[in-house]
Amino acid sequence: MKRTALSLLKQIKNNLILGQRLYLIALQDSFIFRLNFLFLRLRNIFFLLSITFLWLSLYQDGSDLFGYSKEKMLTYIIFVALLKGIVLGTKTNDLAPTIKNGELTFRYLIRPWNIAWVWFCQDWAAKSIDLFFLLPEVFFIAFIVGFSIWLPHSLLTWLIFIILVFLAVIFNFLFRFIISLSGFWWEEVWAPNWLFGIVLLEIFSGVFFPLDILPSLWQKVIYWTPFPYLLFFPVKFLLGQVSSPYSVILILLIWIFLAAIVMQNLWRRGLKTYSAFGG
Amino acid sequence: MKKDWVTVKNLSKYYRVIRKEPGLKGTLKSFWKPRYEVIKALRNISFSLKAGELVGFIGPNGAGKTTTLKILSGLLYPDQGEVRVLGKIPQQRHFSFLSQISFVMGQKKQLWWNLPPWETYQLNKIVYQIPEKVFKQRLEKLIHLLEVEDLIHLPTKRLSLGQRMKCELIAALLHQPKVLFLDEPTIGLDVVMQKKIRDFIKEYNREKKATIVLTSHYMRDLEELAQRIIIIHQGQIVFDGPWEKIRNYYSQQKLVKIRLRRQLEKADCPQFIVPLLQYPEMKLFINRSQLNSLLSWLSSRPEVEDLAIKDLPIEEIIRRFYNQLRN
Ligand SMILES: Nc1ncnc2c1ncn2[C@@H]1O[C@H](COP(=O)(O)OP(=O)(O)O)[C@@H](O)[C@H]1O
Ligand SMILES: [Mg+2]
Repeated sequence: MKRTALSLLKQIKNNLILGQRLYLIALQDSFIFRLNFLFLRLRNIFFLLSITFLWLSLYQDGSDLFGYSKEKMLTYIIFVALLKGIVLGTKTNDLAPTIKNGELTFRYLIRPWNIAWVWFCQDWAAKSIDLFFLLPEVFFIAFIVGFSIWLPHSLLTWLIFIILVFLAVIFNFLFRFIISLSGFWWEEVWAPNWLFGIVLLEIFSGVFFPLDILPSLWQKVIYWTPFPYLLFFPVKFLLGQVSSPYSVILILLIWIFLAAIVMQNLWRRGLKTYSAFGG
Repeated sequence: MKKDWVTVKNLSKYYRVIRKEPGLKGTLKSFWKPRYEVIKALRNISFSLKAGELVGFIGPNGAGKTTTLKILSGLLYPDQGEVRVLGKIPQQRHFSFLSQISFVMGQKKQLWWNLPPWETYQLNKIVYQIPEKVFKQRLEKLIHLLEVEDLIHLPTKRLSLGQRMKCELIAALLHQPKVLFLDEPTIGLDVVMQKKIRDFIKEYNREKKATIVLTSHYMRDLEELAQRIIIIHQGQIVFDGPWEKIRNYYSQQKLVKIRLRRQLEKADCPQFIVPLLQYPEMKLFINRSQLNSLLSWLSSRPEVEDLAIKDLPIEEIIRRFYNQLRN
């Protein structure tokens, strides 16, 4: 009993050390493509500025819109912008090409490690880089709107918020990993990546606007997908507009559970297909 | 008796490839109703390797060498047959199996392209749970043996092919695998570098008693390295035995290439040459016992412009083994 507990602890420790090393490797590996970065950052600043000025102009007469005060709306924009980096940032986009060019076998399948864990750790490198650029960008936006931001004071709120974000991070990883596994079957992986990874994920998770400004039927449909629980609900909770955060946690846990099963299954089938077509 | 570390029984492997008809219509059709073509990469091969054995796998391009190694290391599933490596089924990919093998491929890379090899070594140290002290000793020794002291801190992409191969070898050997698969490790390297890597592999085999499978499509590559040779052709093993047997085989016969000024008259020739007559160049496979008489006759013929005596080319040997197998 004590032996197994000890070896389990040792295993966890080893995986954490491994995670740290992978994180550093992915970080260095990603910093190579500098020009591409610049372009992405410019696009993001442009997006943030236009959305901020759009809402500022809508709030010109001073009254609340869709149940949001001007302050809360600006807080929403800023927090979603930050969370987008933390939650949606991922390196799994590289997985499909890795499958295609055979690197999967020689770099990943040949080593005695958990491949999902490896990619999860690499995700954090992408998140860090995103955040590194996002922080000054968001600060800049906050500066423009005169720091009129609404922040909760309760420690418990922040604690729950962190849990929500962490679960969202896990779900995002599983979901993006599943999409990238299509590389086992399809030549052109950018199509599902674009459709699911950007369009559905970003719109339905509330990157562009709070989802509750939509007609209620739309809202109902969207709430049946996992996406609004990634950004929209956590930020809304921070704004004090979600009365039962525990149901959000529960829903996220269910989605994580389902995604994990699908991922396992697809992975196993993928390897078989891969083998038939020669890796 | 030493134990078998690798056993392969009646192994077959087929690849499926999608056959596409040309044009947009063909593309659409193959999307909805893909037509598969089956390539038989391995057909019913069997062999086993003992602990510490160094075996050369030889065969022309497309013979099935890489496929065999990929199955032995668990990267591909067999379609038929049974494979055991170190008593385990490779495809189950148990950590205890994976941490005792290594697979190095001439053209593929496990090193991170943008980063120095050193980063990969650090990663392997953690993955294979090598204690720091042991790791340092092994790394130092390997670096010294392969003479890459100055290279392991340079980004991999800035290394030459040969330098990269050496660094790949280090990455593959840090955890001291019991079974090592090397797929054309000397491909594209110059002769000096090839020799260095061969010597190194031999030394590793001798010192660590590791079982090593080495492939090449070039017979001479393995002549000084492996005692045992397995020749594979069109997915079948056509020869499995010691080097001497092959050497005997091809020292018994010689290839005589003859260049002629003008055509030889049939009437002037010894009987056995008649059916082989060609102009302006002739190729004769001759038993050594006949060689002397043939040469003395040829030297008296004014039609002969030039002649050369050669060993049988490897393709010819493989072809003969293959024909033997089928009869
Ligand atoms: N991914 C693949 N898809 C389809 N056919 C393949 C694939 N890989 C290899 N083959 C075929 O299988 C046979 C054996 O290939 P391989 O094992 O790579 O041979 P070798 O390594 O001896 O050159 C060849 O006919 C080759 O064309
Ligand atoms: Mg090959």
